[in-house]
Amino acid sequence: MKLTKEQIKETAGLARLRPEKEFQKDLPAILDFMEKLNELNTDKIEPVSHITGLENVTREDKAAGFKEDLISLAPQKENGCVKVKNVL
Amino acid sequence: MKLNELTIKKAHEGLANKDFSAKELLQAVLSAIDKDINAYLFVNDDLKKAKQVDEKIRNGEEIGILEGIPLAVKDNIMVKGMKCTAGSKLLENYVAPYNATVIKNMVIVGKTNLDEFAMGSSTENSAFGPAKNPCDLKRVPGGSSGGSAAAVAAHQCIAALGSDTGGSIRQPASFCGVVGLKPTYGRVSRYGLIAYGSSLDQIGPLTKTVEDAEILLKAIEGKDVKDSTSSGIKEKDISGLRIGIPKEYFVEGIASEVEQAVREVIREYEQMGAKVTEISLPHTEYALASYYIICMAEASSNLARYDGIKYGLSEKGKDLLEGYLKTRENFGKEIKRRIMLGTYVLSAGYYDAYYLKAQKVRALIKDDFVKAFKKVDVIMTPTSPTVAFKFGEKSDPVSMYLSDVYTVSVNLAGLPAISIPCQKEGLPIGLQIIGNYFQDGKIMETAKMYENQSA
Repeated sequence: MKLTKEQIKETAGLARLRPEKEFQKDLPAILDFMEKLNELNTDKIEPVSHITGLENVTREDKAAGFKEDLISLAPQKENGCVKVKNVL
Repeated sequence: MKLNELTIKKAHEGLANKDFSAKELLQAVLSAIDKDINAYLFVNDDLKKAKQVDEKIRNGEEIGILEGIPLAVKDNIMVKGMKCTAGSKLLENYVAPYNATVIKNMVIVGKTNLDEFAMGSSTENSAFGPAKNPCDLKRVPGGSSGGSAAAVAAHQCIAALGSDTGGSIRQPASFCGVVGLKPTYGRVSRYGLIAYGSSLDQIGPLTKTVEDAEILLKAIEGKDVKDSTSSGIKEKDISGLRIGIPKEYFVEGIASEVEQAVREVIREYEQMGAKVTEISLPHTEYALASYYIICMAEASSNLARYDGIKYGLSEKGKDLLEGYLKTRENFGKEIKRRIMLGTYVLSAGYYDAYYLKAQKVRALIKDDFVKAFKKVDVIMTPTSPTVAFKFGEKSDPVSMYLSDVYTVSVNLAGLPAISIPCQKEGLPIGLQIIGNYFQDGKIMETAKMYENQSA
């Protein structure tokens, strides 16, 4: 399975990684290994959504309070909030 | 026998009988820890908890079976106040702000070494140097719970916790000659476990005996409201022992000494009265490809959070994007490979061909087991096709992935499985016993039959 430089650049962009030379070398072989699944006809098979069959487990949307402990770990913070460079 | 060489059971008896104190037990374990094996990334030499247990014993109070027992915890499981690095530079100085659900009132000796973010089968992917196999320091302890397995094997803890996504408890247990159990998916809460492949991960025990694994599992299992994928399902009692041997697991690629050792154990079970039949798991050859697509896809999603914004390593860039790129450059090679591939197989245009396809193959693999368990109670296979390999031997990524061939199907299907040592001399070899859903007790009971017999 050949991976073009463009595809690598695009994927790296999505993954927020810098494209590296090794990707061109290492990734195609691993993708080839994954191609094996094409030997199987799975047209009529339902994909597994959850392995033990659990569905829609919900709980009350209530904050469980240890906000200070968590915010204290942020590299940049202000007024009890995590600080971030502008997104736009 | 030195105190650090005791099992959980014997250590508890000794404490209850006042043969020795919890402080002495912990000190014996601490003095056994060495830099050579490098099983630990962080050692906790605080004696406070041990002294509290001794106080309880002095006051005549009864102590729980795990109270005062020095345990090692894989460094991807959060222990409040201790560093939790996941073996990565991204979390090198991260201190856990809360406990994982599995961390109860325990004496924790320290956090053990692992492949970075639990991705790997040798602990060579740790950003802090690999752990070594105590049976042969030139060989890997296996991975990703290599540090935990090495610590148990070298008596640098009484027992340990690890995590298993594609074999990461069982394979290192097999390489180091200890017991390792991956519980049924959902049996143990994943809250506080740094996520790798959320539909595959489970925390489980690495111990010196199967009995100890039973004790540790009992302490950590249970439905947890903080993990919506956990279950509180009760185990069904089944009697009799019909063992299935899948023919697809004994083909080319298995080392002759491994095949010999495993077939010998199966013969011993037959002599004990078990009924052994050959079964077929016809989609076995597709398990690795299916597993790697799914776990890489899930990993790419789970590792998106390491961006230097909320915690962990944070590199400055001229703008937000550059900050992300510079921070995430610090992932190890294997991590970057998996994030790239995971992102690729999930992206528009490729999702159906890879991820969806893999989840369909997963359904076929699960079905193979469901059909097999109509005819047998447990399935026995080797844990790994080889004994512990040497450092650097599997430098090609695909050759490393191939070493997981016997373990990944179990995670894909969500079943419980245990690895027990079955080699009397030479490098350790593990026998894997796979059970039906929530039959964790049954597989441990089966494992004890062999353990008691060869004692």
